[in-house]
Amino acid sequence: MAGHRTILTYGRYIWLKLGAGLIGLSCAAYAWHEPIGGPNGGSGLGYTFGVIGAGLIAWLTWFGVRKRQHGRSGAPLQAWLSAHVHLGLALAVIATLHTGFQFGLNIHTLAWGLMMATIGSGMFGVVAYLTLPRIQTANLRGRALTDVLQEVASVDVELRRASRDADDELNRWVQHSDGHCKVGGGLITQLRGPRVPCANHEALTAIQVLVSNDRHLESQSVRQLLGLLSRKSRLLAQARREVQLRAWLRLWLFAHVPLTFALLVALAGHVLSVFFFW
Amino acid sequence: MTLSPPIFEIAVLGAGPGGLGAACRAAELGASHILLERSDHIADTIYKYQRGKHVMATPNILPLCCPVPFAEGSREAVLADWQSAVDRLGVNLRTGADVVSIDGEKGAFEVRLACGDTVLARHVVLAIGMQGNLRKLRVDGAELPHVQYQLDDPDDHSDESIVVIGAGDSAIENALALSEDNDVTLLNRRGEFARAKGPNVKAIQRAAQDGDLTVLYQTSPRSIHPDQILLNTPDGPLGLPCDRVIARIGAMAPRGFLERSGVPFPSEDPNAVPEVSETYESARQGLYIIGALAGYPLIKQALNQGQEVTDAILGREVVPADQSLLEAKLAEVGLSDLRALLRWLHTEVPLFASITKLQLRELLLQSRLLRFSEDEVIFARGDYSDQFYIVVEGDVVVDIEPPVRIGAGMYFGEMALLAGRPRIATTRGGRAPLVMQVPRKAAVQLQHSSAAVRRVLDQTRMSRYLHNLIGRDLADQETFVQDLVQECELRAYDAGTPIFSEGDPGDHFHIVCRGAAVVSQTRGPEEVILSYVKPGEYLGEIALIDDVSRTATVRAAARTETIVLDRMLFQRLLEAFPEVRHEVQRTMQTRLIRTSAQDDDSQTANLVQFFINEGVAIATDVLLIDKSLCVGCDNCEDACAATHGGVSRLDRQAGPTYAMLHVPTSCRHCEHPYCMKDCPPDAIHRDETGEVFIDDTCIGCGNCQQYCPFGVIQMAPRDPVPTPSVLEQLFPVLASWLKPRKAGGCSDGSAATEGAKVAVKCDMCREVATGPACVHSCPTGAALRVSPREFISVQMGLDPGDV
Repeated sequence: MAGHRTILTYGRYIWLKLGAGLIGLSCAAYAWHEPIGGPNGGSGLGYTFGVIGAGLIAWLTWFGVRKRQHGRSGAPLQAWLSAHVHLGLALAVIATLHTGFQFGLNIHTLAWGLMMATIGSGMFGVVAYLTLPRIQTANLRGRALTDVLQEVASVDVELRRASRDADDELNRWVQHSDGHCKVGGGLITQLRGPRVPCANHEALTAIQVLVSNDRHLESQSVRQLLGLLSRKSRLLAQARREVQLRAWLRLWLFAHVPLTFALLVALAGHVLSVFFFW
Repeated sequence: MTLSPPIFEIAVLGAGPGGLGAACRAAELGASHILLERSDHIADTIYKYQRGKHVMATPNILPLCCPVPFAEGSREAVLADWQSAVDRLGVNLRTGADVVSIDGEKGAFEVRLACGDTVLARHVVLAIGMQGNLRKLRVDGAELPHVQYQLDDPDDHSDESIVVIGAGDSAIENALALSEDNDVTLLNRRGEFARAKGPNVKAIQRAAQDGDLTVLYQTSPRSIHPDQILLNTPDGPLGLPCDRVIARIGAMAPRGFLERSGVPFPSEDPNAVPEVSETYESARQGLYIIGALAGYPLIKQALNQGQEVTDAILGREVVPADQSLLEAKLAEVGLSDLRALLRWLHTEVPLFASITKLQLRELLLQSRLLRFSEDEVIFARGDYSDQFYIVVEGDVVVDIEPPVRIGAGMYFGEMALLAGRPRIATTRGGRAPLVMQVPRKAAVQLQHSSAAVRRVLDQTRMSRYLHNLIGRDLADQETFVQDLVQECELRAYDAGTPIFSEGDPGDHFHIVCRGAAVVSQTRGPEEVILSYVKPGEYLGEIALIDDVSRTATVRAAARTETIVLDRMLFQRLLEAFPEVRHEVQRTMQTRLIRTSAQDDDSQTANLVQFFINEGVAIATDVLLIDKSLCVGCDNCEDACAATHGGVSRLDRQAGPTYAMLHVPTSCRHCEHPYCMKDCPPDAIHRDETGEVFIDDTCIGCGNCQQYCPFGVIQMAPRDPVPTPSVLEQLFPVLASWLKPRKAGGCSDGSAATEGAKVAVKCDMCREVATGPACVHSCPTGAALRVSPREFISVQMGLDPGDV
């Protein structure tokens, strides 16, 4: 769409350029600097990287607060998110250079690991944000989930009406579809999307088998039942796919946010231990 | 010895608001009077309102100058107040007095009653309103006992088959009220409900859809029989069983009675009212007419007029209720002679020539008088308008090339108001101008006040559009344009109707002056949208210049008006102005080139069609969501709520979507806002920058909510609901522990929702520096505010500067 941009391209790539510039400068400094005893976090450049990294972490974390401060003047939230993404990626490089590639089983490497995990989850989030909305819209064809669920409810009403005079066996299967269909549920169910076991699908298959075994059942009303069940199947698949996509859109946040807090704790531990016990 | 009957100073006919005002004033002053009322109680029309109905006291600005108390309230409270005033003042009220004729002359009127009595009076005040003269059916059986013209209490009827006839508000309200316990059929002579209020139309359509009652369109009664009614339907005659027929086909001035009483009417127009003087005296001396019958349907106006007419008859100085307000208005700009100003406005402003002096006072009351210094901007090009202006003194200058001076008696600024478009030129003060600024509501009232006013407005509008087209100094073309205007025609088209179709013979040239039109062409199996034409642009020149049939179809995208010139007129125009011919030919060439180069992209065409169908074409600013970017975080709604007292004014999920573009339920700031149509306190306005907003005077009546076709107005508590702080949002559980609890209160704001509610809608965050909070707080950039005209143009690959 004309004049429209994503979080990656916001402001004519201003934050991408800044992030890349920061990475470039850091790498050049790292290559140029030759501290006594090899590169490490305690050298002049190491401290500099450390201070920049810690500052970035604090600023990136502040996004969680800024996002909830409505009506603030200044840059729009999209600019903040764009900066959050690009500077977050730059942080991965700066903090890694800060380590001087000295890793071990200690709180310092733990802080670095948590930071990388946080950034990793964030990268997953970026990919999800840039790809899933389009798939969601295509899946629901522009409708809202509630509209689809309402249509399922109205198909159920039609099914009940259509099965009123049907054979007992058929009726039981319609009731099975009516009473045992669920959209959403626990995390695993949500993430599995349309692949979960479905009472409506079972009813549809069972009735098809019944009809193919008993030619007496072939009638216009049974064909109507099959038509309705198929329609419901399609709607349920759409709804479950939507729930699945929504779950993926949020799932990464359940890692990103707790990891951020864990990182803050580990970072505090890292800074304290460096200053007091090194 | 026989006592001669008393001669009253004043006989007042009708104990409605006007009659009560007059009689109570007479009683207060101790003048001999009699108040004659046909029914057995006062205020029959209000008496017949349904129980508990809220009676409004508009216009709020007008003070009440009358011994009868009146304030907004329930039907019962109003009636009780009035009855107590009648009792307290000792009004000489005679009920059951049906007047059949008024004979005699000023000083010796003889008012004859149906019972045979005669009442003698020196002066007669007619305050009988319209409701006493309901229109009756003129078919066989109309006189049968089960045919009625009023409905007192719907609860009196149950399990009946009832046929309601009429297409107005009372017919709809009666049909709806009766449909709860009865089998109701509503007959509408036409194909739609054009006369009724929007909310009533919606309600009746919904009820018909839900099967609560039946509506038969284009159906009229043929004859009525004791147990059935015969109808003329589009499919032929039809008989319906029915126990009761209720005809609500309106009321009218009792013309026959008035004409017999020597009161002439100015025209044959069925809505015409008799002319009265400044003191309400009719053409028949000594006979006065006030209230609805004189064209003043509001209760407060009628009460005030009652006092004024009595004062005038008794020779007291009449001080109209609005006198002090008007004088204060004049004093603000250093004027003192109200009478002279009113006379000047009436004689020197052509627009006001046909309205009554009383209407003029009302208009002045609603308007503002403003002085401007030289070169001071009155309004700027691109501003949205909520008013138009009349030059009272001095002149103003319109910044066009060459500049145009508008002098005393002329008006300006009405084009943008009537077209719902931004101002097309900046206008500044010229030589010491004093102008009268007429607000939108008063302008609309004026427009509807008489055919003569509409004619003047239409002709001015046509001449201005023609001047714009010709685009030269006004002086040397004035006569030509005026001649042209006389022969031009103004045509209106509803949304979706064709102005002309591809292949039709081309006989007319159109200049769009309101709404918008969409030009499309058939290419193979598809219809491709070519352009979007806005007010000020023209259509149909290709067929006329090249003498071919129409090369494209043009449809109205919204309600559209065009100025139509036939072939002869168009030729005359081109011959008189070679520059216009050159200009039109150049536009034509540009259009042909653009059309041929235009992509046969059906996706774009469909997108444009989608916008037009969704009414986006008549919006000035619309919130769109790019669904390829929206992650559904609802930050837009949260930001909206946080900026607007805790209630979000947009519903992100609701609303239509086409391709990846979603139009959420949020105000579109329409060019002709539906919400403004019937706002009793006139609380809805348009900002200079185009935003439509509701101010603090909203009374919460819900009219705007009902009128808005896009469902973007909601009722919310007047007192803001507290919005959660950042801490509360991040750690809700922790925050609820820390927050001190109020005894008996609830923290979720539900207590506040029980209070008075007012209408709220998107105001584009007009008081927030960073602009709309929804857009500012969208983390992914999915939410955007666009001007649809620009947007559609960009979609069609046109230059946005075109729009």
